[in-house]
Amino acid sequence: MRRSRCQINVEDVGKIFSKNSATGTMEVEVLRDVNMYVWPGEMVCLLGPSGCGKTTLINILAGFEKTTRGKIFLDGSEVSGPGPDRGVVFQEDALFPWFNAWQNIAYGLRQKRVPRKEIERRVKMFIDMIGLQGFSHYFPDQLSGGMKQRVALARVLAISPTILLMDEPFAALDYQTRKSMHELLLDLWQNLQQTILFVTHDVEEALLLAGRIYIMSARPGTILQEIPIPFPWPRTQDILTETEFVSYKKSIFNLLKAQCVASHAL
Amino acid sequence: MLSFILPVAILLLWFFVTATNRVPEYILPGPVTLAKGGFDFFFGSLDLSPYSGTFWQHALASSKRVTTGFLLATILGVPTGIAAGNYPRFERILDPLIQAIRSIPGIGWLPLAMVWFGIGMKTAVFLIALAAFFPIYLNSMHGAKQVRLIWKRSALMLGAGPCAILTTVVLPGAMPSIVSGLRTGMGLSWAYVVLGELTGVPDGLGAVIMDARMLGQVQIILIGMISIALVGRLSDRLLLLLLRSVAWRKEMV
Repeated sequence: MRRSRCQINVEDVGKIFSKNSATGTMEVEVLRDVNMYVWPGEMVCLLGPSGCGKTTLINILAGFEKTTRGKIFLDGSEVSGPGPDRGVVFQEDALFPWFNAWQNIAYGLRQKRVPRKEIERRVKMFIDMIGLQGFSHYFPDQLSGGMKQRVALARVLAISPTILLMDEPFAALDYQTRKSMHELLLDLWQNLQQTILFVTHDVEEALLLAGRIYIMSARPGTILQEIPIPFPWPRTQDILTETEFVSYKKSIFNLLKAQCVASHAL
Repeated sequence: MLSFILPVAILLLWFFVTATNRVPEYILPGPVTLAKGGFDFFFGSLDLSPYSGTFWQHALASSKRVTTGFLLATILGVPTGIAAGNYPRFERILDPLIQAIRSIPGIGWLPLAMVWFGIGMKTAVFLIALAAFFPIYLNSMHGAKQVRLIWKRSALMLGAGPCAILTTVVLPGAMPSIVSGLRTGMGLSWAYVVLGELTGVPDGLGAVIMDARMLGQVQIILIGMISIALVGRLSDRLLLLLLRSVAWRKEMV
């Protein structure tokens, strides 16, 4: 079965939030019949309009929230609850403000009781990889937004998760910083052969990074379409202006526009 | 410069009304009498009074009571506060009772404390621990509630267990609030040590001012009050230094 060969497998996942109010219980269906998978070493983007339940899906995959229906399989076995096999990079700043960059990156390794020498070696390696040499002793509030997200990335990569879940990690950054983060991520992905599921609402970002894109519908979110992206690796910003890239961008834009219209019509 | 205008004016007025005997010495002694008495209280040997050089002994007695009571309040207040802030169920069990006890003013406990513990060290320590407990508990609880969900989730996905989350996320996340609770608690401890010592204990700064009242030594009352302020301020500084040395970051304190 395909399930066992995939890194992560999402089967018929549905999520309904119920809120208790004065008038009774209100139910909001956020996800419906979500089916998707990610191969080992693949970078897949989940692209959808805002409010379609992307973050909810990431929270479910990370184990922070329970599914109402359906199951999640990691390397063929079902998972529930959070664990270091699924690293998360959040959209907001989620670094521990009382630890400096070095301590933030070392956190996961310390929890694993990795020997000190080995922690030092790995943390140094990742600080070099994210290009923050000389910033080890800086605390999060002394770092720029881009630097913080670099540390957040290094902090999860350091524990070598089976899959890296990224929830619009660069959405809050300015254009230039976002571009350099894309280059860094593409580099790291190739060097470490890390499996990545990347959530975004930015079509260009998805096309630049992904080997495959899942398009999500408006709420209740479900997978509308799976689109393989054929651009060769290694990719650089140069492909952004190529005709094929632009035509992909146009057709995905139109798909998403239809979703926006649909959600406004509701 | 502006900040000196008012104190200097008051000092001059004080000197004027006492030097001209418009206000008699037994109501308000003049600045010179006060300074002399203060020097004698701290260093002795100026004139032979029962208070000569006794500051250190009294300050030490009060400090012992404050330290014991404050430590008790901290040991009880920080863990229960953190637990109540972190576990809503624990809060629902514990908080209503604590809030009910809190509505009794601390001073109202004095007679009962005297019945239970008699006069002396135990009563003072009980009153201090009781009074300092509430701000320490409340601020620790508030601090633990302020800990962002995303920090806990980060720790979880990085492999932290429940214990590690308490010590590496909740405690440091609540730290700034805990510190302000401890400082308020320390301030209250000095207020309540005076209350505890007003009831006829032989030593302590509170005992000194009560004793001086009975002997009509107004300058000693004032000197005692100033001494309590000084020692209280010093203890706040020491507490800050201590907390800074154990905090994850000194900016947190």
